[in-house]
Amino acid sequence: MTSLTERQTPRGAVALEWSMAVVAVVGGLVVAFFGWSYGLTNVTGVGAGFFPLVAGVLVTASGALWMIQLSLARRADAFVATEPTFARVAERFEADDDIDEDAEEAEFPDRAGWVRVGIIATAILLAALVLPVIGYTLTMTLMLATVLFFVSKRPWWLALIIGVGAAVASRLVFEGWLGTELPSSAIEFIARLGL
Amino acid sequence: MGFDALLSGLVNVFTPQHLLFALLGCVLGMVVGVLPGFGPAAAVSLLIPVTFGLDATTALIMLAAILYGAAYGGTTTAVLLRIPGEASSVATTLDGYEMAKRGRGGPALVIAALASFVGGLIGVIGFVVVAPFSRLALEFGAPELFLVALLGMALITSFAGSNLPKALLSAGLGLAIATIGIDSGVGVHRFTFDMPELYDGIGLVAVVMGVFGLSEIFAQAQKGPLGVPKPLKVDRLLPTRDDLSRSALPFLRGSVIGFFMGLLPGSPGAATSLASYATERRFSKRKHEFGKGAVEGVAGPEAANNSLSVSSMIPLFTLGIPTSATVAIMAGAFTINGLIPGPLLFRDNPEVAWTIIASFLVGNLILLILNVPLARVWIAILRVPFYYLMAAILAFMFLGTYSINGSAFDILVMLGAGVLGYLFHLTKIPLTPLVLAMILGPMLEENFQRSLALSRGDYAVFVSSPLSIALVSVCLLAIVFAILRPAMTSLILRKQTRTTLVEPSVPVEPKETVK
Repeated sequence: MTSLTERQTPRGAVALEWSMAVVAVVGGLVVAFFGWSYGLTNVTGVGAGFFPLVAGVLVTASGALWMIQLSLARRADAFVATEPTFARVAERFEADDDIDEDAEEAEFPDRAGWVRVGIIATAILLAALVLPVIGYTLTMTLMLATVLFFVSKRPWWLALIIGVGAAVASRLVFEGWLGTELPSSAIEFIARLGL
Repeated sequence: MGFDALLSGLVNVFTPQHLLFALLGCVLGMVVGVLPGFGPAAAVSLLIPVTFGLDATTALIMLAAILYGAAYGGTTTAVLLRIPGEASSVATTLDGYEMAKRGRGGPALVIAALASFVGGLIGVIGFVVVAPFSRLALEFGAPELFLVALLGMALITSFAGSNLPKALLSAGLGLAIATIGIDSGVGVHRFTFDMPELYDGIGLVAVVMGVFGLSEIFAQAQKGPLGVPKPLKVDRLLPTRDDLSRSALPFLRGSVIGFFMGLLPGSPGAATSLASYATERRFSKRKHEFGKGAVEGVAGPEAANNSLSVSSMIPLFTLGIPTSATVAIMAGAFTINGLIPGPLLFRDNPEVAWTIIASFLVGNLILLILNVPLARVWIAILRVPFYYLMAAILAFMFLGTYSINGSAFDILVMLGAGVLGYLFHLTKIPLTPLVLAMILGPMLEENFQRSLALSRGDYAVFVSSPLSIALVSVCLLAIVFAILRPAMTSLILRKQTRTTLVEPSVPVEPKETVK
């Protein structure tokens, strides 16, 4: 059953739900195909592909059911628009019943929100990629300074100071206490500086 | 096995090293638990790397302490900010915040801490009573173990959220991720794409750090630079004698409710604390005070919460089946430390098992002694602007994930899981089935393969004993319930609403939700 909060979400949220449902159907089919290609049976009974196939079918089926729900919800919206009082109140009661560990009320981001999330994700991605090249201290400093400057809107010098401080402090904790060997830069000039 | 074993466990916990790390766990758990959005699941997943340098027992004692510390951190924000750290603290906001508004935040926090201790104590006593039954699980063969894991999956998927397709999608994706790597049966490379990093599969820690930790960072960052919350004052700390006498029975009732609810799959925290709240309201002679600062409204739900968090570990310790996301992360922590949660733990490592169980009690005792006087310190953390905390958490996650295998690949896994968790958050797809499927997937597959190998491909092996038939029946019931549940809920709510709507003088307003 699709809840009212899902129906009342902005257009972008509906588009996101449709996109994810489509990805689930397609992705599930791909997983199922790979599973089938690994073989469903062998001499001992079950082949290596049996469980991937089950997982793929489960994902595809749930994606398809989700799409059906979204279609039904779109039709119901037209009805809700003409029958505002009872239907909306009833649905809102239903939506509020959904309290569990996972079901936190989600606020859909605006364009600026997406940009902030994108900056953090990109910063982590780039940091993971350059980590073996420029070493831990520089990577962490740059990642945190980027996030603090672009997402948190801190002045560049403060972002840099916090980045350096956090990088050095975390290096001390993890190398000193936990014995984690953190990567140094592969560039000789930087490595000679102990970074 | 029993109280003697618990006693020897307590003796083991009372060593300087174990006590020190339990204390540290409580402090770290509290620090993370008071942050908005970070509940016990996020706290434990974020802090797993801190335990990498420790021996298995100390690591698990510390993680258990982190769990309880984070839960109590959530209670602190529920009382002083009206922000429940996790869903199960929702009931505490109702009267705890009202008490704080009247200048009784201190007594509310002390009562909550006492309730947590009593809840933990009763949970541990129940644990001791139930633990011997884990021997029965040793008699289980591969078909029964497969069916128990399947039952766990079916029940969790049925109870997760209110949308079956979304819960199924989450479970299916978790199962698919669990199949990545070299097949244990015949050694086929599955979804590895010739990448050596994938030969051993996707690491659980990187995934849980992403879906519970990084996704929360995204969710907070999307709101933009946040203001600093203004918590209410704690003022006088100690409760009155009247507060204590009024809380005694709610402590016990809440603990019993929480204990039995914790045994259910999904360990429904919010439902448990709300059920305890409703029970206290029903039994109270001061019904009119509920919602306005009734101390029973804090005592019952908090006792229920903590009793539940202990008893929800019972299925993990006795059957090896995690019943909630937090317990699933703990199960992962067991595995990382070379321990297999389940009946074998009591047989092969009884000292470790009972030391960990005893640490549940000691962790709560530390919280009681430590956190009430330091409530003002924890609240001070909330005054630190979130962008600084976010930077610290990001650095910690980045490093923590890297330290798992000393590989940047795990950071990419965490990032992928974080994006996935964030999209799940936006589309309200429950995360618990995904994490559980990742943990139970290998157990399901291994026992399924073994069962069919033993029976030479005969599927009747899964209904060959009364126990198997019972397990299959409960699985089917869970599936039927999951299919019918939305319709049943809708029907009941429509009836309720219709009844309310015909009352002309009473304005109909939706239930208040606490964010």
